[in-house]
Amino acid sequence: MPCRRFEELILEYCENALSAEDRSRVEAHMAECEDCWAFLEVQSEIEAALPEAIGKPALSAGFSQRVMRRVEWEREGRWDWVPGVLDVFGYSALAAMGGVMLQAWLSPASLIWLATGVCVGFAWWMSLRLLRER
Amino acid sequence: MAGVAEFEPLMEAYQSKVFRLAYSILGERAAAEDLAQEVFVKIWKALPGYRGQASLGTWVFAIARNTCLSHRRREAAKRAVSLDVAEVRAVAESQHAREDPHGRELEMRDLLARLPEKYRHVLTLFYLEDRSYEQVAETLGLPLGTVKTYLHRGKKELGALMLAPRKEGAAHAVPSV
Repeated sequence: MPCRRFEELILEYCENALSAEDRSRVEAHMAECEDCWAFLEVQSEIEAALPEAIGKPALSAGFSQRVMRRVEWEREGRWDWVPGVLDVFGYSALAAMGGVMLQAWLSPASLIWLATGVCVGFAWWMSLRLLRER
Repeated sequence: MAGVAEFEPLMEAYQSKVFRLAYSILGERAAAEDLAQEVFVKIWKALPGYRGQASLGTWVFAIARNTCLSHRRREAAKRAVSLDVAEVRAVAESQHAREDPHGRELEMRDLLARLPEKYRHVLTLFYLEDRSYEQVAETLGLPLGTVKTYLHRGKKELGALMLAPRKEGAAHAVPSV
């Protein structure tokens, strides 16, 4: 066991964090204290091994670009599928409108259906376009 | 949402420090990089709400710490397994580890894995940040005195762990009279 009042100082000595005056004080003490010397030996071993054990990991090249791509994806790309789905609805609306027109052509009595079909289809189509653009 | 013009310089300034913080908590380079990426996406989302109530560094490191610690909690079960493995490996390798430099490095990693988390984080970050107590304190959001206390307790514990098998070996080597 090292001397209580020198324990912290020896640890800071190993970390090279002492003033010149404190360094000399620690060195003078260690020259005559076997326990503190043994403590210093172990701590020096740890001090030498720790940086190697921990290593110097670094970010891989292109980290910033990858983050920016993620950010872009979060901002826009996440909803990429929406316009496609809206298109499907839009074309369905057109097809439905065509169906109504065909029916009106086959049966002139249902011209009212034709007018309704055109209006509903057009309104649907326009709202989908607007939604998509937004 | 924050503009790219504000976000990019912030990321450039803090990316290495956030990565080192994540590494000190997770202990794996690839996982730390993935998490650092996660942290910056969160920062980008939160940036419009930043009103300068804390310094930018304090704010960034708080988000980074919370993200890393949440990740750790999610991985708690896996971590328990990996620590067991580390312990078994430490026992198996402790004998020859001291004999070559690479072995010593492995031994130290295993000993480090056995330390309480708070000591391990401080110790790891201290060496990643070129022995700066101040930087560790800012990154982990701890007072300077606490950083030194954790650092030194961690080192004393490492010393005790390192000496334990040697003392045991010496005790077995003494012939009984």
